[in-house]
Amino acid sequence: MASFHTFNFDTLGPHRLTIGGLGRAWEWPFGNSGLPFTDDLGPRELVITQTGRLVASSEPALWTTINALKAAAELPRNATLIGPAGQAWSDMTLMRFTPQGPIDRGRTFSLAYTLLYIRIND
Amino acid sequence: MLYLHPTHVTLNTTPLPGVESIAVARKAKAVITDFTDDGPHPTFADAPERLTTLTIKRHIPEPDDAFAAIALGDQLDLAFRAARTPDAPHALRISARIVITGAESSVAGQRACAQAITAVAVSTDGGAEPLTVEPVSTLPAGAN
Repeated sequence: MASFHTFNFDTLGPHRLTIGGLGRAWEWPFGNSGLPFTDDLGPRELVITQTGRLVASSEPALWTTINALKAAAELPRNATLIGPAGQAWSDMTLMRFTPQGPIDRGRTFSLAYTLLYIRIND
Repeated sequence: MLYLHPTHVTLNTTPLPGVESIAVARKAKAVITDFTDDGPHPTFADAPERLTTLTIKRHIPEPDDAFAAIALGDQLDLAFRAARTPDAPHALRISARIVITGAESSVAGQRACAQAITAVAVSTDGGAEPLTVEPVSTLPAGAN
């Protein structure tokens, strides 16, 4: 299960991590720069997307988690993201928290979400 | 839940005679399943949208005005008395606000008519159970 800073997602609901494109970034000839050749811009930034569902026994408890993630994404929060098998991706910045759809009210109160982490190249 | 031979069946307090059974079905209209990176099976499931439907079956000598007055989309208050088991006295009063979704007639023998009325039970606020079941003994005197 993933964790990031003080968020132990194991306790917050099911989730999965998706690693974005790896390799190098470039601009095609005659792109924004106007260069007549492929411009190698350097290694791509690491982008990891976390999709999951926040689950709580009450609606106020769910909103506590929603507000905590919102605050972390607005800071922005920079920390090490730990993956389900113990992989550690250091220096990841939580860039965006996106609720996916409405709060579902069944046996539990839950909300599907997406978190976007980027390791920003300086 | 299946209620056989219910009595005191009314729609908006108008009696609906000849009802042989009222079947209640509950089904999830939306099902959530969520998975993790630890394996192929869901670790979370829930039913955040639920549908309670009723099928009222009648067997009457001939088509009547009570059935003719029912229109699709009508929102009506259904009430009836029923028993937990076929042998028990009609000790329960069941009530629900329903919206008619179907009304079908068919021939049942040479001189009889079978009718099936289907409906969705709606909740008062989304959170309350759409079907109210209460023991008749707790009802005020004179209540149906």
